[in-house]
Amino acid sequence: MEGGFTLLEMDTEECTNPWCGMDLRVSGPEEALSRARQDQVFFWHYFLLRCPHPGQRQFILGANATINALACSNRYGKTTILAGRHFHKNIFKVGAEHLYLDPGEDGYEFNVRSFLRTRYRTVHTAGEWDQAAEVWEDAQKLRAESPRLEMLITGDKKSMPPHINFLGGARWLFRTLGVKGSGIDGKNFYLLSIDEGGWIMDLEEMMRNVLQIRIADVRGQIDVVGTFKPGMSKDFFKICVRASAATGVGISFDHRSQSEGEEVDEDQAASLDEAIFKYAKDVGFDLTGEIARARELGVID
Amino acid sequence: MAVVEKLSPPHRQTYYVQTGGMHENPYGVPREEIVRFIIDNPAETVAQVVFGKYVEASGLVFGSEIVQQMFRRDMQPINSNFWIDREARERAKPIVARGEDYLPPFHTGVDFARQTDYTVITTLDCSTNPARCVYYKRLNRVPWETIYTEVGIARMLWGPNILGDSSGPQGDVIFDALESRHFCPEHRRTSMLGNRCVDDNGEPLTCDQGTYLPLSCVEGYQFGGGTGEAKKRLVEHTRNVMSTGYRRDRPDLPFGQIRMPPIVQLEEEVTFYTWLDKKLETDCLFSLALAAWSGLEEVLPDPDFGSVYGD
Repeated sequence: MEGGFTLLEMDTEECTNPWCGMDLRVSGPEEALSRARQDQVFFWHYFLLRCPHPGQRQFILGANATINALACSNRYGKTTILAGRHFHKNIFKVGAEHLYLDPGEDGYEFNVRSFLRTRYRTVHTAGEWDQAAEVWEDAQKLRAESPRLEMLITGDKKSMPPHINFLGGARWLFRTLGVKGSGIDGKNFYLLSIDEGGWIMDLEEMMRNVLQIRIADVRGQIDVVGTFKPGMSKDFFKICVRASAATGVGISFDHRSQSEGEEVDEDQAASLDEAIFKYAKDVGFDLTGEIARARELGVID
Repeated sequence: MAVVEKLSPPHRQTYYVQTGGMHENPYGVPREEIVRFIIDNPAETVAQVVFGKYVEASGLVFGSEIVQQMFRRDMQPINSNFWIDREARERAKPIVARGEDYLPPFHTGVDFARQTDYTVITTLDCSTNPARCVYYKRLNRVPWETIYTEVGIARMLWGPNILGDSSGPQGDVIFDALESRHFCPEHRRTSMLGNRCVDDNGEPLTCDQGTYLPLSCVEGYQFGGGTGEAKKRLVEHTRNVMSTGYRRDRPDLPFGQIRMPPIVQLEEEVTFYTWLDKKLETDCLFSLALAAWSGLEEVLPDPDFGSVYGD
């Protein structure tokens, strides 16, 4: 996993990342499109030329709820997650299948005419344009690096506010939320993503009064991503807590560092520092050597 | 071959949540930089900024695991102010009809509205383990007479095990009123002891006074005034019965002594309840807590969710 960013080559037959190993061979564009619709990880490899890391993979596969919250660290790769989510949805009009898949004798038949006529929009937003622009720039970068992706796009509008048009007629908008969500009011979206949710002070009110309504009629989704930081908005935390309570997934740091039957010094067990070092070790990030060195140098107690 | 059915729009869960750390991104910050950041920065910052985990300093009382475990996810969310388990009601009829000499296994908690908040009535069926909620009612801006009537209805449906919030001077007034009233199941109204139901002209109705149910069965729970000790004990008891049997090494196993339908208001209140609860909506939570206090014996679990003594 060392070595930094790896852009896949167009002719890659198998992903060589140690956590992946996906077979990328396809017989032609038709199979590639068909497989990419069903398999987002393949879509990332084949059309975005990116191999999502395990955390990204977990989100793109698991975030199928109406409100999907991603509370991650800085430099987690959330910008690319959002770009990938919008590209996949817009290219295949995901979530609108009932409008263009007709029942047939051998299962569902793809109705091209209905597909092209299905009005499909997604929007990426943030509190400020500089934050929203991160995903716009990442989207442009992905397009520039992948001719396969670019083939599925018919054009864009770069002047403010920008958007990207797709071959099937879908459109991906980029907006700021504006005052109390006014920036996106009056439209409906299959995916509404919010970047840097932690800095939006009245997110709760916007969610209640505007954002959830904007996805309701098409049964779309809201992705809200951000980082827990001292001083951040309580509203983002509340959304995550609510999601945590509804799903049982823990989002807070577990101070209970002592495992069953394990002898741990009481003072150390209670220490957040110790809990963090232990957590890091548990997730495969062993700091024992570095901590010992830092202690020798007197940098930490 | 049969033609498949027309597709419907997607049905989704309401929420999904995921956390993620900087170290998970192999394309991101180099390991040495992460190590330097961990060693150079306060633990709270590291937990949040590097590992994407919230450091629990918010004072939330009920952890996500116990909230998640308590609510039944096989039911549709309940947004209304009324819910009854009709099957349980049918089962309860003969049990409750056995009269005062037999205490039914149903326990009701009532949190009375003071000024701007809600009166909430919750009933638990404690004959099963875990206990199941069978009745929920939430009222706002109604006359006291209506509230007494609702208590009477709960008494009629589920029997006399009723525990209400009797804190403060207002509690005295409420309990004096309940003490001196009975409830007519036929006309669904209360009247003062010794009186009987009358029509609009003051003429006595023909209901049998022998069927009247005295509301003096409602017992009081004092929240403890300024110190709030009793209130804290009540919440602690609720947390303990919610987490009984939790095993940290097997968090996938069912635990807890209460199962609730997914009442949206209650879930909000439980999720965001903090020890400093001055400006929080807590009526549904305390109604449940009172019912649990009345009906569920506390089995002290491992203190995985804070101290069992509330310290």
